[in-house]
Amino acid sequence: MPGEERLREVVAAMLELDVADVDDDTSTDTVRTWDSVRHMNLVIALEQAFDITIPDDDVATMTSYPIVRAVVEEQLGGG
Amino acid sequence: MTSLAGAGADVGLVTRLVAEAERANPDARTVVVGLSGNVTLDLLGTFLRKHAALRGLRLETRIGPVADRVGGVAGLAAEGVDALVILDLLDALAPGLEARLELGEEGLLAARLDAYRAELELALAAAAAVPTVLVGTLHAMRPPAADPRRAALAEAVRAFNEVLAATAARHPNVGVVDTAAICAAAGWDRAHDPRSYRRFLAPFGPAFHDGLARQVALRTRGFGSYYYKALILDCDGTLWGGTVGEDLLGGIALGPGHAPGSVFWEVQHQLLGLQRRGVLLGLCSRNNEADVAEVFAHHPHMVLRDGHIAIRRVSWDAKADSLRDIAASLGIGLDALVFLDDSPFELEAVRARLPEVATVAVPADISAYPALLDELRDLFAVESLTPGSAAKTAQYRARELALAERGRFESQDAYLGSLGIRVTIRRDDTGAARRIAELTQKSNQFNLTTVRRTEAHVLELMASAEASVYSLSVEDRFGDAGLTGVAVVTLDPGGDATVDSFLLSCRILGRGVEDAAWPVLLDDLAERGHTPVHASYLPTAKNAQVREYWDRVGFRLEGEDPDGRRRYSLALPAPRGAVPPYVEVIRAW
Repeated sequence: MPGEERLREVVAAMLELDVADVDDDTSTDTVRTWDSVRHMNLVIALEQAFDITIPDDDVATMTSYPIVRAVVEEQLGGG
Repeated sequence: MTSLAGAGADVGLVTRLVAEAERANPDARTVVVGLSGNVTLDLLGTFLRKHAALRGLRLETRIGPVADRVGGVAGLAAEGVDALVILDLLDALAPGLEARLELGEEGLLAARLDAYRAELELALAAAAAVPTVLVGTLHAMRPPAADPRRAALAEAVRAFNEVLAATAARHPNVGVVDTAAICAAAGWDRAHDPRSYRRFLAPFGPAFHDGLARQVALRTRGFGSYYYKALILDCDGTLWGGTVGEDLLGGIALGPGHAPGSVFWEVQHQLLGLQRRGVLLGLCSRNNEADVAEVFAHHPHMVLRDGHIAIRRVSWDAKADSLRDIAASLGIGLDALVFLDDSPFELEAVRARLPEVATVAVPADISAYPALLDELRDLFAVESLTPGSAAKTAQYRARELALAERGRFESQDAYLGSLGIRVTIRRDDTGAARRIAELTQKSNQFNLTTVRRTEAHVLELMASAEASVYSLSVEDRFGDAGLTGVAVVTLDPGGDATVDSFLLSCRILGRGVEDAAWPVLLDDLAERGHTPVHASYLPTAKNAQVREYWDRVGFRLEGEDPDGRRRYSLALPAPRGAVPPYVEVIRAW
């Protein structure tokens, strides 16, 4: 997606990872720091950074970086 | 590249830049702030960390459970947080409360008010040991409107905040933060996030948290990173318009009516407000002393009068010299001074020679001057970080009272004898570790080696058999100065002892405390079989006054290192140095 670098930056910042470590294997199972509080802040940061509204259903299913990317892409109208 | 200061309320950017700032400054002092709310406040932590990082600090948050206000606050207090923020959302105090209050539901308001009062009182009582507690006012999520259909809600908000103010006022460590003002500044819509409220019980948006965190930083004096005590004022162009030496008494611009005189007149009212809240005001002006005195005595529109000015240096000397003199006379550090002047030249000259002094310029556009005074009021926050600091105003008053008494005695010793000075020395008092660490962080002038320590370090030393941490608490008949001195001694098993640190708060200097303490400490070391005792003086920009301290208390100079460190030692038992007869020393172990 266009702007993926920005997306990786935001995800990395909110989950306290290096940008280089954010890849398709990044998920709530593999990242110890991805807890409910960071998930909440991640949603807020994504909505703010991309000026989008993430639907409630997607908030709950966004448990890996590929899903996060797909959700953001969809809301940006690119999906 | 965006800096942290310019990152605003962008959560992703702020999070990244804060992490970078913390990595770049791993040795930064850490402050711990507790959060207690009836809604989720985790995002506030992000912005508190931002405002701490802007001041070169690390900040950690501890968050109490949403459902248990009193127990949560008690737990945070027991953890020893440096500050506590209590923030409730009105609407979350009961299900659908805003809508129901707007309807004027029978009995609801009175019942909720009673519960709120009771719970807040218990919580604040549980937080009595927390140095600074800030409670956010309650507000409705939708902006206040003049719409008469919403009058019942507006009335309810007012009633809650009256309860809050009255309850907070009973606790000296508690301050109130106006959340409605934060919403207004952030924009009422940006301050709230209804979706996030529904999803995460997190009703406040990033813009609100940024504004609140900024207020918390100001109200805790930058999380304890500065402590301004005195505002020193230039005269011409600062207290009035024009130049008294040229325009004469009748020609300067000051008084109600029209600008610029009306602006200076308004600013003088603001300055008087600061003075009434405990800020010391001083004059530092290059002028004829008689001209300035005449304005203070005879100008019909002067708001500030002689009695409001704690100290004045009106002469043709360089202002940097006068400011140094002012700090010395007030017995406070240069870093406790804020200097306000309209001349960029004078301000620059002060900055160049006395970088510790905070300098503030009168705005070139004089209509912006009153707003600047509002910012200065923020710098001199009323609340303080520790109970010791909180009592400081009273201590300065006690000191003033003591100074006034001095004139009545024939000799200095007779005067000191009348004070009833009592020093209590404790050894390895773990309950005082935080205050001891704070003192090692803040003391500059009477500090022999200027070793800074954290609470964890202090506790570690106290627990170790190879070190003793002594603390000195001082009181006299004018007041309790609290824990104001620290000595750290490291011990070789069955052999030498080394004084690693010795420091006193400058508030208690000049009363013989520093001379009375050592014989007791040396006795303790001798009893435990330690000899000789080594000590040293390491020069800094601020501690020249103690360069010969060890000589005075009987230590022998052994040598001076290239970095200026003076090394001393003393074999025990040693003849007692002269102990001031008027100081009673109590050994509390």
